[in-house]
Amino acid sequence: MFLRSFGRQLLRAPSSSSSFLSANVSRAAARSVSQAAVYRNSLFCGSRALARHHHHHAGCGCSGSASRLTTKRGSTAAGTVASEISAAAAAAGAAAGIPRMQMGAVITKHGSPEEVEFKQIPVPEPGPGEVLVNIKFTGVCHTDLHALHGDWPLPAKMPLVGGHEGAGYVVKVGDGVTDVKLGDRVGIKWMNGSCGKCEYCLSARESLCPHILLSGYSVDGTFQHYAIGKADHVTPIPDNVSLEVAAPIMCAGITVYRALKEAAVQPNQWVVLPGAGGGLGHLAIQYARAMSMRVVAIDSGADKEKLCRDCGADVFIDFRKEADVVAKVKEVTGGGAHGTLVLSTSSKSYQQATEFSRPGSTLVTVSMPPDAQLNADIFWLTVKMLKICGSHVGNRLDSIEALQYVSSGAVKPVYKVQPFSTLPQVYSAMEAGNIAGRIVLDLSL
Amino acid sequence: MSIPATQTAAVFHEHGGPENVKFEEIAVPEPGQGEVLVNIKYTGVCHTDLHALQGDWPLPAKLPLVGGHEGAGIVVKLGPGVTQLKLGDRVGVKWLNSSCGNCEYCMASQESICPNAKFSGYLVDGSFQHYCVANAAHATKIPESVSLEVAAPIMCAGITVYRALKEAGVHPGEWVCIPGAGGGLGHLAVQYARAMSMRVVAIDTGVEKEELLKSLGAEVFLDFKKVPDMVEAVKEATNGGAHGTLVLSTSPKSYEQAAGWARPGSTMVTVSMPAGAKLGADIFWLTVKMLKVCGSHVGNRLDSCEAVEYVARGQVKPVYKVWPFSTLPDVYHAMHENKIAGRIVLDLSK
Repeated sequence: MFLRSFGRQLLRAPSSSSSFLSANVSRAAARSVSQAAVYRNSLFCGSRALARHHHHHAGCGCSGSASRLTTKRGSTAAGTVASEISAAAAAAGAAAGIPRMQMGAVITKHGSPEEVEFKQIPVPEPGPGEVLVNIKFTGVCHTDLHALHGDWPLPAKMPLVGGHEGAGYVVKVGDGVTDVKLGDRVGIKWMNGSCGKCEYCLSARESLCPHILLSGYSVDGTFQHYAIGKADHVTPIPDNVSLEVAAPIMCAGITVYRALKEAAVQPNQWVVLPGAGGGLGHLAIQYARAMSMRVVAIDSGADKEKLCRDCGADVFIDFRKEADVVAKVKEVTGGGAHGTLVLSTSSKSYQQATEFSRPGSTLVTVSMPPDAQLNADIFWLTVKMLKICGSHVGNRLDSIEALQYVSSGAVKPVYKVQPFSTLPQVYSAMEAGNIAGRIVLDLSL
Repeated sequence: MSIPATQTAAVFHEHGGPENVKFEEIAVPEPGQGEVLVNIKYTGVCHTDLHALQGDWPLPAKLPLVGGHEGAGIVVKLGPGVTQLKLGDRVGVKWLNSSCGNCEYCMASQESICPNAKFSGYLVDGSFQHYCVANAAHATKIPESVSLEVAAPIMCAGITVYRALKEAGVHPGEWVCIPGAGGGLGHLAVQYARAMSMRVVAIDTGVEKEELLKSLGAEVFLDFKKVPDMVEAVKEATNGGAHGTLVLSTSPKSYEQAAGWARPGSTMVTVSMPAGAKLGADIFWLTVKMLKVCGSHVGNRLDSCEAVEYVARGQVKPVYKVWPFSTLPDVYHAMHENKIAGRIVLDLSK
């Protein structure tokens, strides 16, 4: 209880003064904002102090000015995307506006992207301790692809609605829910729920709970308009962070943030990121810089180099051009990485990481390729006193903190908004390794 | 006391088998700046010494070499600038003969990973001689209540498992699992673990080892030759998995199994250093279970003092046999054949 109210303190929501926008108007507005896939940076440059009265200034990069709808009472919810509805609006409209059926992206068996079927499914009812969230935007994570393929040694629910980077509004609360209210802007993540009373939950390691519920894997996820989340687990989204920006943070952001903590890199020390140009990587660079680490980004190509540098990487190493990556890393870091997050999926990355790691440092494995082995040389592992640590997602507090960095402007996801209906194409592009940054699906399209 | 000009030392000039070890007269070394000369009375024999002899490590050794790094003796000469030690002090000479003291590792109390560390019986001559040079800042003081022959095996085996247990992050009342618990390091690890309030699952084989380990406080003993599914057995015994594992055995299977019986979020510590062995961890499970694999060897100077204090308080008692110094080649043979239970301590006077 304390934790949730603490979380609320961090993200104090100003009382809303904007009123309800009709569903039709908001959808039209949404369409005008994102007609076709457009590259956008995060919408907010301002500090929270500016949240209520956002003044656009030179170089702010905020697209809040693009079709900003004024509400009936004239004030503008600071910088929010046109499709956002106010808390009061959701509260007012919720009871009347929840349909019985909805469109969901369902698979009935594992396979290729063709298995994804868009069909009418019932809108679920939140049970005790649960809330129903109207998902507005959802990211697509590589794990969703694993769920589709069924190539993980962990059985998934079938039929399955995938997805676990959802952001939306609470439109219904189940019995006994007191900390989450109608209209709250929340995220649904990989960890949909945990038992709350095992040794892991009681030591703030809920992602290791043996009774964990996994969104888009063991319970239906965010590739639908209305999804269930446990009240204790849905993550509050700060007012000045739009839902489309929050979505990729729900898994990618939280995961790299927590992994960076595990890497135990002190301020001004070096963290090395193989695979820095991807969906997780570009976020990892920004979190690392915000945590005062110095960053060596490893990836390939001019586009990724530009992205990495724009995100603040101190050094970029192109693994296709650099003859000796290990030597180069040791050179630029004055002795080796103080910490490494292996975001790329090649086995070679793990091997090189053990070689360019400073003695006594930590190497964090983040990616989860199904059959990859870590073939570390025990001799050097022991002599160098290296630590190899697996990390995925984060606990509830990590999740709230990860969003704080976005709220303060320190971290800005790079993403592309596409219609919900393009999910199968997103999966195909993911299979081909063709995605830079993150794809965020707009459920209204 | 008078220090002779020459002494008998166990030297080898080329890597190879135990037959390469020659007992030769060599000069008694002179302690330099910050160093002391230690009259070694007893020395343990560590598996690393066998690696040094065989030359099978990817780390070149000094040649010719006087091996050994579990020495215990008396300070008989002080080099210039020595303030930490006096003549007559009882000290141990360990793997870490010296470190630079001023690098980022030394200054963070991680002297065992100092890039300029000097290793006894590997990069500098070690404890298989009567008079050995040691850095005064690194030679570990041995309390009067601990005999030199008991202190010797603590100088590497004891310190190493003690530090590794700290790295394992096992809290009081939690379970540490120790594959290879019956050996020189293992039997010490069980005792340190108990003294640190951990509960112990010991894995090894044979009735003799079972009796020894249970008498030392292992709550559970699992015989790897008898238990069909070791992973399940450990999970059952620990009600969910080990909170930490010290891999003391050298079989690659131990590492794989350890990842299986490890409780989510727990740490596996690699201690043994078999040449060419790979840790084949399944990245998927490593990441999902948020496991940590951590390499650990020896300990820093404070770990070393603390490790000896456990012995001084009677909480840890090494099991060892005293053999004459001249039997060193036989010890190597027995080691090679895995025939040693506990530790062999060589008496330099014989």
